[in-house]
Amino acid sequence: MDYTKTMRMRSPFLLVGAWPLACLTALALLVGGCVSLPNLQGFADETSRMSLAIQKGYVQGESALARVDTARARKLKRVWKPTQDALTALVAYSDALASLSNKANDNAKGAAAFAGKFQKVTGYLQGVLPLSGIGSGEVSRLVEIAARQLILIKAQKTLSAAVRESQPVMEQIVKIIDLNLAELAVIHSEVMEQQISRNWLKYSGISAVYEAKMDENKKGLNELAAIAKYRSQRKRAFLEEIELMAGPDSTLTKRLEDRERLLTAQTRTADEAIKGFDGAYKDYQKINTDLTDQMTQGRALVDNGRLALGAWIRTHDGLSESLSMRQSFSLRELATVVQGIEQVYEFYNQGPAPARPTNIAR
Amino acid sequence: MEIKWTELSSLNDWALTLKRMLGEAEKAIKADDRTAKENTKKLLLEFSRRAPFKLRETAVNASIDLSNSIIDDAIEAIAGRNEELLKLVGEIKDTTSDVKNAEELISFQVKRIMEGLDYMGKTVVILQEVQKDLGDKNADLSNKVKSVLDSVQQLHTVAKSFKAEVVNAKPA
Repeated sequence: MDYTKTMRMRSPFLLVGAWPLACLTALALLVGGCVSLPNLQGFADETSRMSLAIQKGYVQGESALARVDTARARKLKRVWKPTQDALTALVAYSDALASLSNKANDNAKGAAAFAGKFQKVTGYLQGVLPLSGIGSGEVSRLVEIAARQLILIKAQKTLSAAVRESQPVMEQIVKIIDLNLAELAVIHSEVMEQQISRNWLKYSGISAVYEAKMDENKKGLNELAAIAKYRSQRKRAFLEEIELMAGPDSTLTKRLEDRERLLTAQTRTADEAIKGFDGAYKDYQKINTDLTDQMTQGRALVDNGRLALGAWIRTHDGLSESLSMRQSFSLRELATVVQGIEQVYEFYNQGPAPARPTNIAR
Repeated sequence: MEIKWTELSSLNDWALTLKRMLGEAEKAIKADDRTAKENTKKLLLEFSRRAPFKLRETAVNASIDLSNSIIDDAIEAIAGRNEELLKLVGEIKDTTSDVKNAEELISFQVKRIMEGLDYMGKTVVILQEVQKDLGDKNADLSNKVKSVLDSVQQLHTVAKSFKAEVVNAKPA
């Protein structure tokens, strides 16, 4: 640098005093172009929401199992712990990425503080030493650029390496969690089927009679309605469906009256039977509906959890590429799927929503 | 196992069919054949919906036994992957620690640069004193020059290590 030569000629101390300036200027020039780090807070937030949502799906499965078999539920809880640990590790990992990115961006923003200190120092120097060829404002600008870029480059290198190198490990983790969620779906489905079968068995006598009586009643009422229509409109076509056409016309009126009496008596008996079973049958139906809803919810939670994991690993892969190529990345797919799980949970746990969530996986 | 439901009429027909199904269930459990368990369970559930009332309970209970065996298989399958999962989680924890360490390192380095600049400020103040004293107090000169060199040396160290650790550093 020319200016150091000039300074050396003027004073033996100038070389010593100018060295740090030269060094930092060189650093600033060395790092060259600007880098910017993506904001990873959104990725960390979505990872946390995904983990929580998957855990809710697990709790649903474990609670259902505990209702029918506490020993197996305890065993499931024990073997599920590493899966939970893996989800926690994904959250800690994405939090660490976001924290490093945030810290680097904050420090880079604070690079002006370096420049301020440096400007003060070069101000002193200007008072003492003739620093020809470089002004204090120029030096402090160089220092600011150097400080900001060095912080960002260091963070970018670390983030890029961490995300790139962990991608294969993450893929294996996600694959295992996905397989475990598939097993969880099997467990939940088996438990609900057991309960549905038990419920059916408990009410099977009643429900069979109830449904038969309802059917008998419906048929009787249809026939009575057809006879009434025939009477009012005198159209034999109304009687075709109730098979009263056979026999001479002269006896039709008598046959219709007999049939009406029989049907009225039958439907009255059926009505009484239905009323007697009504409460029990409604209980059966309510329990059956609740169990079927729980089974659907459990399946939807687990299936959406698996979709979210798939979206997460694709987002992570995109992040790896964006860090190495210094491009932006999208959280849209992951955010949408995670929101889907939350909607499923809310739909079943806080009463029916105005519309069924559109992205429930089945 | 194929069942011709429409050909089952007497209670004896149904009972024999149920007996065959129970045999299949036992075989599936002994063979630890998950697919066979699922298929036999489905048949038993269908049987329980179609069969005379007397035989339903036995069919439902047998289907629940098979269902419990399927649950055990699922729990075992999860357990069987745990060792590998824990190993992978350990690797991710290491990566997470590296990222956290990098964050701390950056904070530390920022602190060191600020300190370096402070040293530089001190250096300049000393230089001012040196310049002022050069004329009449030459005896102190060597000590003051030493202080200057010490301060600048510290800045040099900071700048050098910063370059090595930040600019030229290999990814963590």
